[in-house]
Amino acid sequence: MNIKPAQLTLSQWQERYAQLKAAGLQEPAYGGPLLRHANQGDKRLGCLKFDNSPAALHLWNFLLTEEDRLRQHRADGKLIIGTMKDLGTVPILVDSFDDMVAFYPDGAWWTPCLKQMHEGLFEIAAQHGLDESFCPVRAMVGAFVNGKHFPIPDALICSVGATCDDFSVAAQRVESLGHPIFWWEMPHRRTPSTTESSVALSCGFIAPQYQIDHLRRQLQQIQQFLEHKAGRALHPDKLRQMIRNVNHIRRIFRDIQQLCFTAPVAPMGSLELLIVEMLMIHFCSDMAQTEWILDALLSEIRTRINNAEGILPADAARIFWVNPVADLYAMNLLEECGGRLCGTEFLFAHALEPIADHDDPLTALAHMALSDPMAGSAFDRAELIARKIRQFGSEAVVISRIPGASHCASEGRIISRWIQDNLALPVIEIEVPTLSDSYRPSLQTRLEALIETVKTRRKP
Amino acid sequence: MMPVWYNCPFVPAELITACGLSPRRFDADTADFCAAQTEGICFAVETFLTGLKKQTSPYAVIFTTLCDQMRRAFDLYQANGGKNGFLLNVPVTIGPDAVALFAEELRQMEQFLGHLSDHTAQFDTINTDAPHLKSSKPQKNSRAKIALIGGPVYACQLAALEHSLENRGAIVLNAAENAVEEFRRPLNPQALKIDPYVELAAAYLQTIPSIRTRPGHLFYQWLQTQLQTTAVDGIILIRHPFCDHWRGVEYQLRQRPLPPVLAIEWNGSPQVAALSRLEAFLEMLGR
Repeated sequence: MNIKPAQLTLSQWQERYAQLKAAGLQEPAYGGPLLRHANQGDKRLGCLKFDNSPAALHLWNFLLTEEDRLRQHRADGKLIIGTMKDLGTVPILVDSFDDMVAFYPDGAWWTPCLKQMHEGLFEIAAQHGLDESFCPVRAMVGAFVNGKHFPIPDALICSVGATCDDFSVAAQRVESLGHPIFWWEMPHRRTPSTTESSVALSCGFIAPQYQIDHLRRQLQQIQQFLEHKAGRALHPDKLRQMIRNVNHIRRIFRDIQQLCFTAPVAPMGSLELLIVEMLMIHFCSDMAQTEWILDALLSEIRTRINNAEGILPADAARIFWVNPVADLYAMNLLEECGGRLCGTEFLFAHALEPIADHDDPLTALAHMALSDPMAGSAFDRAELIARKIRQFGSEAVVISRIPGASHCASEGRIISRWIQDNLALPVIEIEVPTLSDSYRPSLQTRLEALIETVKTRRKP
Repeated sequence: MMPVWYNCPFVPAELITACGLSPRRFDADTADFCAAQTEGICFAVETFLTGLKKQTSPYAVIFTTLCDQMRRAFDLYQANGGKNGFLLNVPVTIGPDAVALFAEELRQMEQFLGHLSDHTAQFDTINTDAPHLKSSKPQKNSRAKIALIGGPVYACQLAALEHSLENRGAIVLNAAENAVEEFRRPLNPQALKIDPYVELAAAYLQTIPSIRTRPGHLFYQWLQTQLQTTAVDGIILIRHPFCDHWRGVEYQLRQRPLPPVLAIEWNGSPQVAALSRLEAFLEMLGR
């Protein structure tokens, strides 16, 4: 069935789904029509536009069935390990154990958006002292209290130190609710002095050697903690193999990004690209399925590019987006305003880059952990963004502030000024709340102004 | 001697002195608060940056990573052309690994300071006594005994608070952020000779109470221990706008078997609403 690439509403997807099934679409166990998720409470889906490919269908179904998957893992006797805040490192260690699976309770920050705030997580968080002055990650506290959005993990591991204050406070509240946490210390990544031993990291950062040594010790303690939970030791070869698997998936992901961000016509929507990127943090609790979906998406994207097909006009402004959005709809809005996603920095670049090929797998993971953009200065992050902008040829930058987040007010200003001074690109800062509907006119105006500026700058 | 400004209890002033420089603990005045207006930025951070801008003679400054906002303040300082700044990584866990990490950070800080003063630290000059614990004056029984936490609570705020308490209440335990280094243990002269960085790191990191320390119950345990030796009728928590950590503490305090808590978000000068709440609090305490 040769269907042109397009974006569909949820109801349009019903018809498309019926067509695909009639044409013999094979789906994994978590497959089915997207509408069922909305009927089960994910109301925000009704406001979104989705890519019409089977690969995108699999992607969405995979994302929206993680809770079922976790419950099945538990039923199968696996331990569920809640990894918190580090965004990518500890799950690799956890998933190296056959009988453990990692997931991020942090992901609950999107639940109020998906449920259009009908689930009451923010209200519960407020009852436990975390009001709207905290970033949407406070929803995690509500999810631990009502136990309705993920199975309560068998153990929790959380990074602290060079992290945001909101998360540190929210995680502490989780612990005070009776969920013990294994805390590990993430140092602020410092620029090494000329006299000290330093290491180059994967995202282009440099750090002092002693910070790597410290992180290796921290990761070793996490490994010992997990071994105690598992009742057996982890052979380093298992971890080495896991790192190879992760690097393989990351390679597919980077191919997807490179193709999508540089194609003359956008072959895939911003929303799907955001979701794919999010999968890279912990593979949505199933690494094999993540690889399968990424392969399917990559194949679809290649076909579209070869056919010179896409989903947006060829003149769409190429926008680099900084920070994840609390409201998924913001990605659709960017496209409605005439933009397309051409570069992202969603705070976990360290989960996308290849993990260093090091004899000692824990040292390799220490390198990865210290490459976290949030662990360093705003200048480090601005330079990382600049490297990606050059790689993808982005024409403008949107810095999307996360409401209440401790880092956004200062970091956004610095990154904005740095980009303007060094790359002479137009930059806007916007704040995207969990449900942006009432802010839509102002967000739209600002995005349209940016895109108009981009198009004006193209004129000779 | 070049002044070295800092505003965090985990900065060892002894190390600054040992490097031949003059430690200066920052204390905001009311005008600094008036300048603190940026949405989303903690007023304690912004007053610090404002206060630094007012300096007319050369100085150095130590920022710390104790909270994310202060960590970012170092970025803002640099972005605005600030010179002679150092960011000290203060761990929030307190185990042996954290002490080792902090010791290495102090070594880096000493190199930074030594570069400014042109000589290395003279560790044998370090005073190993415990910090001077300011004893509270004997209180009339009629006055409510108050423990003060939160902050940092600057002198202008403290004076305004004491003025507001008048003769109905008195602060008998000051555990505000800029006062807690008084609770640090004395330095061990022998350990200081063996490895001064490790000894300073251990003394500061493991005995100065902080709400940022994880696990968080350590702070509440410390507070409860203090309240067993210093009886108080009520606790006043002063927090700055946009400070997540102290905002997060308020609820937890109320869940614990502690004296009544009054939380005031105070941006410098006493506000009518804050004073009214203080009045009500004192009334509630029977004063």
